Amino acid sequence: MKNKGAEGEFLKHYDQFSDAIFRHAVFRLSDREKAKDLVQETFIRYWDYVSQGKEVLNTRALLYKIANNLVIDEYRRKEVVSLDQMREEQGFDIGNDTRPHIENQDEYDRLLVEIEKLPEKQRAVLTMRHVDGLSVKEIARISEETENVISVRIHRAIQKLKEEHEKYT
Amino acid sequence: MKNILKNIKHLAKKTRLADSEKASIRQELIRYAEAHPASYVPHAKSPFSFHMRSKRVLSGTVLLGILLGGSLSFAAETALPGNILYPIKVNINEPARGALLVSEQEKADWDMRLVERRLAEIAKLSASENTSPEVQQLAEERLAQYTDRVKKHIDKFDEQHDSEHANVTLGKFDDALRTHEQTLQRMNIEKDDAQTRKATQADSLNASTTVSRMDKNLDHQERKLKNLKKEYEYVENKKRELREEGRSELEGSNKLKARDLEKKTEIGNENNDRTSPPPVHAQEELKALRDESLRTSTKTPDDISHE
Repeated sequence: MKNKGAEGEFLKHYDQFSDAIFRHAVFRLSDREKAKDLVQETFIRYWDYVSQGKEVLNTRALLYKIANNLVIDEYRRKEVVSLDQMREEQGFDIGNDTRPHIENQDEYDRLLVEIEKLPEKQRAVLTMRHVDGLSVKEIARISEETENVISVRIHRAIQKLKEEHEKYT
Repeated sequence: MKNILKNIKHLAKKTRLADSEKASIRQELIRYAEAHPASYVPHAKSPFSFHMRSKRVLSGTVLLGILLGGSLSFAAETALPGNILYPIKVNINEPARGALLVSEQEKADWDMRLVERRLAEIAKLSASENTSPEVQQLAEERLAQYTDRVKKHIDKFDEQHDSEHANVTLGKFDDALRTHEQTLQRMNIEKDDAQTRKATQADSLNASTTVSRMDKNLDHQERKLKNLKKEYEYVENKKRELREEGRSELEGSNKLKARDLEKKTEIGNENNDRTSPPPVHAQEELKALRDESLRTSTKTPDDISHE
């Protein structure tokens, strides 16, 4: 019975944040299946944390921190499979878009490839800032860097994307 | 560049788990959570744990409580026995003020103030027409409680041979009783006048009821005066006791004072021979002290003048 309260709270957080963590994972890993696994693993670790009775002040920040660490682990463990390769082999499809085909789909695809080419650290902060909508302060805390470093890194990531983008146009 | 960020946001919006995917992960998590149950007792929501938003409501409630309590206790200050607010005045306001006092004398003064307040209440009650005898009775019983407290203070001072404080408090008590007696008598006269006027105006049938009410009223007033008399007796007895106790002491000090004053008047006479008479207050004080010495001492006036 006592378990029910904690579990209910836990599932509530899952319903609330699962999509956000999934989004983060997709932009970081460029792999839908891996992203799904990462979501599950993130919430399992989160449960391990809260079920020990540890206090959580900011659930969202904690979840991103766990996810971020898992992504880093993933990078360390395996060679990154390129997006192009993935699309050829597995038929990569970001999201579950049921809307009619967007006219500038090509542009989006290219953007994803460009993001994937970014150095890992830039990709991480760009994802957290512009995909997850975290503040610089929060990103700094999650990645254990100063706010200044994070701001510069975000700026460089966007500059790089811009350069890449201009190459094609 | 803006375009890039816009596209990233658009892509992000599209990226989400399918419902079936979400549900299957959820099932996995439930299975995991059940296999690894929480090792702690989740804190039951205590009635004192408030969420940020309700904190504002709480502080509002507390503030309202303080304001309401404050104005309530303020409103209660003028309440009379029989009033809803009267218990607040007697059981909350007054003990709260009394609790701040430290010294015996302060406490005695405060209890004396309370007796005065009770007396004033009784006076007000008997002044108003529609006071029930029960309420009057209660008010008088309450008065007795407070006079007992003052008496206790006087006795305590007496036991500690603190005749100065005992005398001061006793004097105040005496004054309060006298003022009260005067008020009651004045009111009785006014009331009797009013009632006789009424009785003469009313026809014979009504007259009898008016007269009986007057009788009752008189009984009541008599009882009040009897109570007062009892208090007076106490005051007189105490005064006598204190006088006997402090006689030797008083005599000594008074004589010293008297001699001082005599000297002062002499000096005053010499200095102001042509201009003005000796200071009036000094003469009066001297006279008063002499009188007191006469009363308190068994010696003859001659003895004093010889000294």
